[in-house]
Order: sequence, then structure tokens, then C-alpha cells
Amino acid sequence: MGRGSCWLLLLGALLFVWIAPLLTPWEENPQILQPARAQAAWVYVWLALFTWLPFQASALGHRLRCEGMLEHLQAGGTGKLSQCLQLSCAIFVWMLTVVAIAALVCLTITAPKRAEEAQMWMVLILQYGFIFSLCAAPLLLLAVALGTRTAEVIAFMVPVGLLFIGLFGAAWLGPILGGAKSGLLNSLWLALPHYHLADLTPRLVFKMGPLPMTDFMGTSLVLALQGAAISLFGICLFRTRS
Amino acid sequence: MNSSPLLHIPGGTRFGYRAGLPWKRRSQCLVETTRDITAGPGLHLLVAPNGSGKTTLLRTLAGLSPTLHGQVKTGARVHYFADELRTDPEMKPSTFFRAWFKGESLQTAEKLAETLRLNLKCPIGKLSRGNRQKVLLIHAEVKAGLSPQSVLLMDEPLTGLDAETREQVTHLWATAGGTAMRLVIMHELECVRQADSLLTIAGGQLKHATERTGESWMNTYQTLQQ
Repeated sequence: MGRGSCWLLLLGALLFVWIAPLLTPWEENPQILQPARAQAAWVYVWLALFTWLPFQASALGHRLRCEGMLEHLQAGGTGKLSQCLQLSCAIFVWMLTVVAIAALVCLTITAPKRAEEAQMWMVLILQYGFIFSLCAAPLLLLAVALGTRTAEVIAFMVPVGLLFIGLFGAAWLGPILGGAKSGLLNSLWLALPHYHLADLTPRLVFKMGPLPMTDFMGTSLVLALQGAAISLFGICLFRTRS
Repeated sequence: MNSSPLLHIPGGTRFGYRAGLPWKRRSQCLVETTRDITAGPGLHLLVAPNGSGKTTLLRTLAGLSPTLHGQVKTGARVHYFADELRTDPEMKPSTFFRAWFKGESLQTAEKLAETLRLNLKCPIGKLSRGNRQKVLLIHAEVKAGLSPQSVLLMDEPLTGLDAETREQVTHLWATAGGTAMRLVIMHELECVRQADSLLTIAGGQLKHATERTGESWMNTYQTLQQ
């Protein structure tokens, strides 16, 4: 992992939150600046999940496998599963740090003044952080595992592709597949990743409050099951042979 | 040096690899043992011609590849070291050792680096092949000291080292004592004065000599190859 780029990622989060909202016509309505900062903070988190995080995950897996470090550890008694989880945790730390920065920005700079609103805001932020992590962690594990098996480009593109389909593709495919009478198309719709459920940015921007508990549990369950399937797939792919 | 065996290869064990597609995979045997081979703590040399299956054998002993037939038993923690140190080229040896060791072990690593005249401040990517091998050798030696018993499997660790350092390292291995077993693939037999046994592959068979025949281990090797 490029040590310098780790710190640049975190510095970039703060700069993005500061600069991006200033590019809007905020002078006409200064009130939009606050939600815009919250939006910028979470957009940056999603951007990191589309770029830096899977890139580092795939590069880490690929490099350590090529260097023979994974073999060395395996011969020393560290199992494949343990190695896969430890490598993934090295990336999770940075993912969680970016989430923590976004949450911190939302809870300090952009938090509403009224106590009742502030409390709802805080619950929403915690929900967002949790749901985002549920969505990001399995994808990063998959990137690490693929990195140990294939070229870095493929290991990077597969999780990013899944994220893209789950975040944007579902909106286009939903009306076609979700409402279809064909069982096959319906099954396909169910099998698609549903990362759009993890994007709570509109709720932040329009101050819609936290997700009702039943919706939150349902979303978490869907993302957890999906994540479990992706993680299992990733663990199966993990390879130590250099 | 005699004590409980740390490595046991039963007779009839076959080493090699499987090639081809999963549904028509065929086994390619490179090395076979005709009798039981055991090795305890000490220095054991594995010397054989290029392409005879030394690395495949070592990888199988490390548990990284399966045997084609039979089962190898190791009675201690196994540490496998490939032929070259491949790690972050920007990392300095001092950082590398700090990542692996702490306290007394770290001090031992630093002391060994001083003995072998290794610059701890120069990034690994800028070190010569020989100096990179020194990092690997120090890593191996300190790791061996961390476990009560360990099996060090090293693939040509002396490659690239100057004659003086080779002498130093082989002397270190021979006098280290302790409970570690070192099985070392090497071609530089002339620098080894003291070893506990020699293994070689001749005609696809793994042969083991526990005593030196003739004046040097080179004579033993030549005898086994005949």
C-alpha cells in the first residue's frame, strides 16, 4: 500500500468537503452549504470505494502473493482464511477511517442546531456508516482475494463493476426485471447486488430523518446476506502460491 | 548433532506436480524416496543438478504443495524462505526487521546485520542481490530462534553472497547449535566445512548421507551422484 497515498486520501476527504460545496451557487442561498458539505463528505466516501480502496486492495493482494510472503506465512502455519481476513482488515482500517471522517464532518460541522433534529441526524449518520461498511467490506475482501489470483486490473474492475451495477444499474434494471412476470427475470433481479439501498445521501440532503427500524433491519439483512455470499466467493478465490 | 527427528520422509514418498486440465490431470514425479529419511536439528544440505526438483521438494516439505504419494511429517514450526527476498523496494531493512521482530529478537537481528556488514538504512530495492540475501538470512536466523523448535527450509540463500560472507554464514549455521533444523538448497559446497548431512537427487531418487565420505562434502555429493 502506498504509504503516502493513505494520508493523501484522508487529507483529500477534508479538502473535498471544504471545496466541493463552494463550487455550487451557494451565495444565492447560504443555507444549502450545510447539507452540501454533508453530501460532499459521503460522496467522497463512495468515490473512495470506487477508486482508491479497491485499487489498494487488489494491489496489496497481488503484490504479497507475487512476493511470496503469503507462501512464507502459510508455511509458518498461518492459514489461508486468516491471511485473507488479515489482509482485508489492513484495507478495512482505511475504509473505516474515511467513514469516520465523513461521520465526524456530519456530526460537527453540518449537524442541525435543534436538539431533536440533531438526535435524528446522529442516528441517520450511524445508520449510514453501518450500512456503508456492510456494503464496502465484502467488496474490498473480494478485491484482495482476486488480487492474489489474477491481474490487478481484473481484481480492481470486478468489485468496482459490482458496485456500479448495485448502485446505479439497479435503478435502470429495476423497472424491467423487478416487475417482470418471468420467474427467471425476477430471480436475476434478486441476484443483482442492491447497493442502492446503502446510499442514504438523499435522506441527509433533504433531512428526511433516519430509516425506520424495520427498513434499517431489512436493508442490513439484504446487504449482510449479499456480503456473506461475496465474502465466501472471495475466500474461495484466495490463493497463496507465488 | 543427534536428537529427535524434526523431519521424517517415509520410503515410497513421491514429490512432483500435477499438470493439465482438472478432468485429465496427470502426475509428473520428479523425486522419489526409496527408504525412510529422517533429519534432526542441525545443518542439512540439499545439493542436486539444476531442474532435478529441489525447489519442488522443498515446497512440498513446507506444506505448500501436496505430495504425489505418501506423507511427510515435520515435528516443528516450519519456516520457508524462497530463493530471493521480494518485498516493498522502498522499505529499509531496519523497518523490515522492526515489522517482524521486537525486543531481544530485534536486537539479535541488528547485531547479525552488523556482523554481516549490512546497511540497515538503505532501501531494500537499492541493495545488491547479495545484501538482499543478507536480509533474508538474518530474517531466517532470528525466526528460528523465536520458536522452541523450528525447521528452516531455505532455497539457495547463499546466491549472490561474496566468498567471505558465505564462509561467515555457513560457520554461523554450523555453530548455531540450538534446536533448529536447517535444510538448505545450495551449490556452493566448497564453503561448507561442517554439516550434519547431505541430501541429493540422483536419477529421480532422493539420497541421504549422514556422514562425509572423503575430504569434503563435495566428495560425498559426487559419490551419491554416481
